[in-house]
Amino acid sequence: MTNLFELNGVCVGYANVPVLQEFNLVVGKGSLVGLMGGNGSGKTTCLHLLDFLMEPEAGELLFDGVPVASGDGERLRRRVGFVMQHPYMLDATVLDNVALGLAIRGVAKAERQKTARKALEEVGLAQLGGRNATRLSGGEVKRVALARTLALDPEVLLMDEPTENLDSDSRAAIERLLPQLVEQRGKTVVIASHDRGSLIRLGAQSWRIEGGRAVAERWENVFRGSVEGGGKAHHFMTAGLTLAAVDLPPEAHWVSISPTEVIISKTAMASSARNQLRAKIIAAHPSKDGEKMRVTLDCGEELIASVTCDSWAELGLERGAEVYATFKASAVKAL
Amino acid sequence: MGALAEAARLVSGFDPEVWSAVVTSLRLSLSSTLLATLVGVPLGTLIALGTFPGREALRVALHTLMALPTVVVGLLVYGMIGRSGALGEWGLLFTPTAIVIGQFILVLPIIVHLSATAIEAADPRLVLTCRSLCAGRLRTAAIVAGQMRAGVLAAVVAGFGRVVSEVGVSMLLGGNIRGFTRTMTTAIALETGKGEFEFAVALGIILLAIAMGVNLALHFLGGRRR
Repeated sequence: MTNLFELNGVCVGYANVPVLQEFNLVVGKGSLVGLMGGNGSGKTTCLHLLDFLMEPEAGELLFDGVPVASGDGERLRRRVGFVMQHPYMLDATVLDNVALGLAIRGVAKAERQKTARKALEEVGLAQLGGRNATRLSGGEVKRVALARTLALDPEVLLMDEPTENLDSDSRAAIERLLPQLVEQRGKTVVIASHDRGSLIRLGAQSWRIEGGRAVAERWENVFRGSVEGGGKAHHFMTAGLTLAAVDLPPEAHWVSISPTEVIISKTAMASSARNQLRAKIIAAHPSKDGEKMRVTLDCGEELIASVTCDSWAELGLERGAEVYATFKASAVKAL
Repeated sequence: MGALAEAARLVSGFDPEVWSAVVTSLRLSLSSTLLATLVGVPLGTLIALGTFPGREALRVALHTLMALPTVVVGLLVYGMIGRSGALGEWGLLFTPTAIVIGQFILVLPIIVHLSATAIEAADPRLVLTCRSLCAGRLRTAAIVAGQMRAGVLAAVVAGFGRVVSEVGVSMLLGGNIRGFTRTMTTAIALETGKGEFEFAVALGIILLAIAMGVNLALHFLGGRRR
């Protein structure tokens, strides 16, 4: 996969307050990338850089392998579409709002209305074309803004918190559409989001922005599979595991298990916990505060357990040891 | 009471003298307001969305010029277009054009300042949206001004209200020539001086009605902005 964006040692800030420092990020062509991080961590600033709305104060930004020079932004922005966290809607019809970018680019009225209608259909809001856009709900506004961007058929789609405050239907519609854009139309999608579950469901290659730098996000104990069996108690089948679960929605495709819910023992435990897996310790590292050990187990798939250093010492565990990993069915949570 | 009844008769009877002053007033005020709108709204948009040295000083100057005394404007333009003035040979003094020039100078700071204030109140996301959709500066300015049209219209209406009721410019530059440059306000001043209160009151009623119409328009536009 070739790189579409490359940020090398980029520094940027507002009013002398640095936001991104020595920031490095690579976005492959045709990939779906997620940016995570707390409020003010620089996710939106990063999207502004990728939309060429601002220029790095230091470092290098490459687009399609070419360094972006000062003043190139307006030209390159035609290849990028940006959906803001709180999109602005003109006091006009939904159709006029969707056609705005096309009107700016001088597309004839009949052609832009046709394209705008198609884009509205794509986001499932074809019936709203004649409504005033300032009277839409938050979820509808996000989808109309997405349609406005899709109408321009950009190579890159940048979305800031696309699923924030959306009802489950609107969220599902966006989560269905984004992977389609990547897989079927070859778009590159970059999402800034707080919603870990959404990024996991989208299968986004995710980065966490911390202290102005991007760190690759590794999802712990997140498994993809499907729910088997009906009723309250059922199983979640992954490629290498069968997990007893409870109250999972039938359409769940992703589950997570908190590492603190996993108990390690040398012998099988007599307990009410419905998941007891034979496992082998493949790695163990003390946590940052030094109080816990993060133990990586192989039990058909990689499973992380978090145990206190005292327990780790008492059990006399070491790498390669055969153990049991035990957790309740209720610890298997849908994402 | 007698004067009021006679004034009402003059208004309802479409007295030619009264209505000549009304038509002249409206024609000149609308012309100067239209010209000032064509120049002032783009200038206001530029000031609101632009960043340039001296921007704040310009805003303060415009604010000050909004309170420009009409007789001072009249005097300045008189000095320019009077016989010995720089533009004296154009023969503009005591013509409707002279009044339009004076009123234009009077109303321009009002329209520029108030439209800039209206456009500055635009949601910052609007400008960002336009930029993101690849709109250039001019297109962005046009879209923002269009979205803030209620505030811009309110600026224009406020400007019209100022010129239709001014007397200094019209008197000094128009000369109050009957049927030519006599406006409602200059006619009121003249007729009151002559003791013809009925005529002055009749024009006063019409001027008040226009002022009320302007204020109603401002109120309506203010409501739409909210």
